[in-house]
Amino acid sequence: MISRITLFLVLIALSIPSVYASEEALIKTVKDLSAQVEMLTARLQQLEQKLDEKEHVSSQVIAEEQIENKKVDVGDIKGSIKIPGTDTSLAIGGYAKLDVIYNSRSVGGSGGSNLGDQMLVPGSIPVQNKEDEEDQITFHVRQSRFWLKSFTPTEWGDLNTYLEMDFFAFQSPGDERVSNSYSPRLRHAFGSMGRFLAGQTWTTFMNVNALPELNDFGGPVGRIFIRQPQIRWTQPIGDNSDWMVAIESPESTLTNITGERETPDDDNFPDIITRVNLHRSWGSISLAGMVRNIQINSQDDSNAFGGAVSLAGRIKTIERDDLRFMLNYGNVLGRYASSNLFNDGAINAQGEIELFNQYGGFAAYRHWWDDSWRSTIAYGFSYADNVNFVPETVSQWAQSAQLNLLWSPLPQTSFGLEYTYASRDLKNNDNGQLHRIQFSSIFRF
Amino acid sequence: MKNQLFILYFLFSTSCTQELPIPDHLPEIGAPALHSVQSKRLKTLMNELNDLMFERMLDEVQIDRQRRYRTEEIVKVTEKMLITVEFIPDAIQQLSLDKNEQKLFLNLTRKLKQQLTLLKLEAEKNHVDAIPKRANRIVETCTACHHIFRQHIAK
Repeated sequence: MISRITLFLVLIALSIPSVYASEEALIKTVKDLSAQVEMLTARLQQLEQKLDEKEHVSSQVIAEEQIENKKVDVGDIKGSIKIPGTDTSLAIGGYAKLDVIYNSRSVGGSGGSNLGDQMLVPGSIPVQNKEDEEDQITFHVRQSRFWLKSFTPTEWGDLNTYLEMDFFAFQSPGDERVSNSYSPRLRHAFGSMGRFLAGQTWTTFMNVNALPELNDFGGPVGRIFIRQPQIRWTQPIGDNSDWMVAIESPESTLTNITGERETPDDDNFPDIITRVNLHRSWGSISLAGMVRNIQINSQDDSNAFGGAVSLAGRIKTIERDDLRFMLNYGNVLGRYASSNLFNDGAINAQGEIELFNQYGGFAAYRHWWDDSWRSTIAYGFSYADNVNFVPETVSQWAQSAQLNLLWSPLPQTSFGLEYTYASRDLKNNDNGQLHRIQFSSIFRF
Repeated sequence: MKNQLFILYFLFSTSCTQELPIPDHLPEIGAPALHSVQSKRLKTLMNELNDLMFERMLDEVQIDRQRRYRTEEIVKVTEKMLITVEFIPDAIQQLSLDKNEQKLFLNLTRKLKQQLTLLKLEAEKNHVDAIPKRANRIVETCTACHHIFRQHIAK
């Protein structure tokens, strides 16, 4: 054991001089190594920095991509956006409209039952002279409107869907005592694909384009005005012209022997309607024809086929002005014209349906005073050649005249004042007259 | 020099221009140009597009169809205007312009062509909301050119 220790010490003693000899080399080596370590550290830091930068950039790219994914594209129709991942453009819109109306004579009633005070209903023009119903003012916002539409281009043609409602519900009209809580009602609910349309919308018999711009929701007497469920095909014929054929929901309205209205709901034959539209640089014009089967199954079954025609259009005149018109004639115009002023037919003492001729129409001229001020003057009328056996108290003639001044400082707004004169004659020549002044404001969205 | 300052002002101002009502008639100092007639048709179509905002009885699908019909018409009018614009540089021969004025004249023509091309694209894509602003810029370009260079014809 001693010999091993001795040997170890001897070896150390022998090695000391050589250690001292290589000290300088050792220092140099250490310095070199330190430099290398420093260089490697710097390199490592550089790489780490680059890696950080790369990570930052990639996370930024991911974030941008996420933002990009959140971006919503502009739709293919005005005011619409594309539903992400689809070709469907979706839009909502509508307006808030206030009507402030002075009536020289009120229809009486209250709340929503006085519809004739809120819009022109020709059949509600007061005929009886009741002093307590003179000079009446009403405020309402029932024409305010909301709609939702979609548009999708497909290989079958454009696919459109449309829903629209306002607050003119007749069934739950609300009242004016506390909150004026008028219920919404369905106006339009339809879809169309290419030339095919199915759903509820304006009747094919009516050229909507011909209706004048009025504050009054009831429009001129003599207009065709119906929305109902239907199936319609539209066939283009030549440049900017088309031909429509439709079957639409039937509903017979009849005057019974006492002069009351009956809606028997016994119909088993759809209203068949066709219309030709011509669109030209000078305006548009349409000619529509209709065949209806008026039916009642009470007492002895009775039905009668009848027809009607309507010519309507909008003609451009001087600069921005236009003339709009509608002329209607037939023995089944009934509920289609003047808000059902006359019925489709009458039931005689034997329970048989007899049809009678009716005609009506209107003309309206719109003049632009400048880019935002405009006026419409309109006149309309409606006449029924009533059958002899109906009571003397049924309506026979009605007319209206309107004049307004409208101002739109912005396209989204309209403010206007309108004067309306309307009158109604009964079969016995009793007559009622109405004077109305109406202020309206519209804010569109 | 006055003309050049006006054009410089015009070129700057059109880069951030606000929407202005389209005038009924462009300043006519000389004979009416073919593109002026076409721009009148453009204005009519713009008014018709604008008037559709006030329709209360047409449903929105019908209004969209009418809008599309008018944007298609705008494409046709713009195509005609683009053909006409190709001939505008020929008018230089009738104008006694110096070198700088010639350059400005051609720049305005080029600008008009660019704006018309963009209008055509926007109308083709049925981007109805973009059309009025573009049409205003076109009218501004036309107005500026008429103000400056028709005086030369008048002289």
